[in-house]
Amino acid sequence: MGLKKPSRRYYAFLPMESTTQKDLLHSLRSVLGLVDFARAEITVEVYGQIFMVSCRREFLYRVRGAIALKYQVKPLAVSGTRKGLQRLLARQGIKIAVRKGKR
Amino acid sequence: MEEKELRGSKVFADLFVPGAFKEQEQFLKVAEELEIRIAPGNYDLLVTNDHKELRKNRRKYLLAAGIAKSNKEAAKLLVDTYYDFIIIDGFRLRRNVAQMARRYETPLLIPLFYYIREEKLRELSRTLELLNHYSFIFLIGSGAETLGQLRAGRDLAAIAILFGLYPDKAHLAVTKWPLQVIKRAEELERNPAWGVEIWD
Repeated sequence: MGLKKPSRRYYAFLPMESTTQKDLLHSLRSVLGLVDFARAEITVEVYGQIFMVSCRREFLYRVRGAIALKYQVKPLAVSGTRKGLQRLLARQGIKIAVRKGKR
Repeated sequence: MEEKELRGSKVFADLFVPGAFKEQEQFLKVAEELEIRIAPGNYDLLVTNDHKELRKNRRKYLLAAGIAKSNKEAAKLLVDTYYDFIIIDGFRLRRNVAQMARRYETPLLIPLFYYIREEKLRELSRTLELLNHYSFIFLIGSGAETLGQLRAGRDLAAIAILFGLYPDKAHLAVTKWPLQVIKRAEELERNPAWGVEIWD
């Protein structure tokens, strides 16, 4: 018995052009469509210049594709947990204080 | 399983960036930031449909490609062994052309932004769905004409997945397969007589 695979994915990226949380959500909504957008349970958080998008695991590629379709971004890290993402970013010398999850 | 594939190779290559013919240094700078190798830039690329010009200048370049504007033209270009790959210029790929590409072992390159710019999203989706069912090498490129259209390797794969390509194939099309094409071209270049494969 291994550990349970996280059901969500956390994706951090750095947009090459300036954008806002609202614009990003709007573009995701227009590319994915209302149904997929709702099913993916997307949240967007901004930490300085770095954006963190979280979604359901099976929607990660589509969400990344939808972001890449409109914005030129530098992908930084993908993880199953907030803490994991924070660690991966720390390895690259980026420190962000991610807020705690629901628990 | 999908994630394991995506974690595998870290070398991404985009073999068709038309904007880099004019502003190569700037494109190289952005490509380096996005951790991707581009042609032209990192690799020399000759793009021509003229067979005479191709034969004359082939040895000066590492890679050579032709741009097909229709299925008929693609079929014509695929027969020429001097090409390393054929660029599909925003049309819906037919099954017989895919079969030809497999038979002649010449990869097809899908420049994503050629389709997106001209809003031919249905054609892109149908083409990628067709490629899912064939076991031959194909490449995914950005087809970027401006700096803003250049994308990171995983992002190119993610766009292709969004339009219906299988994740494992999308990843191979931006990592392993372009590098195979480059390796093959480099081996051909090293040979004393161009185009002749020497068997040990």
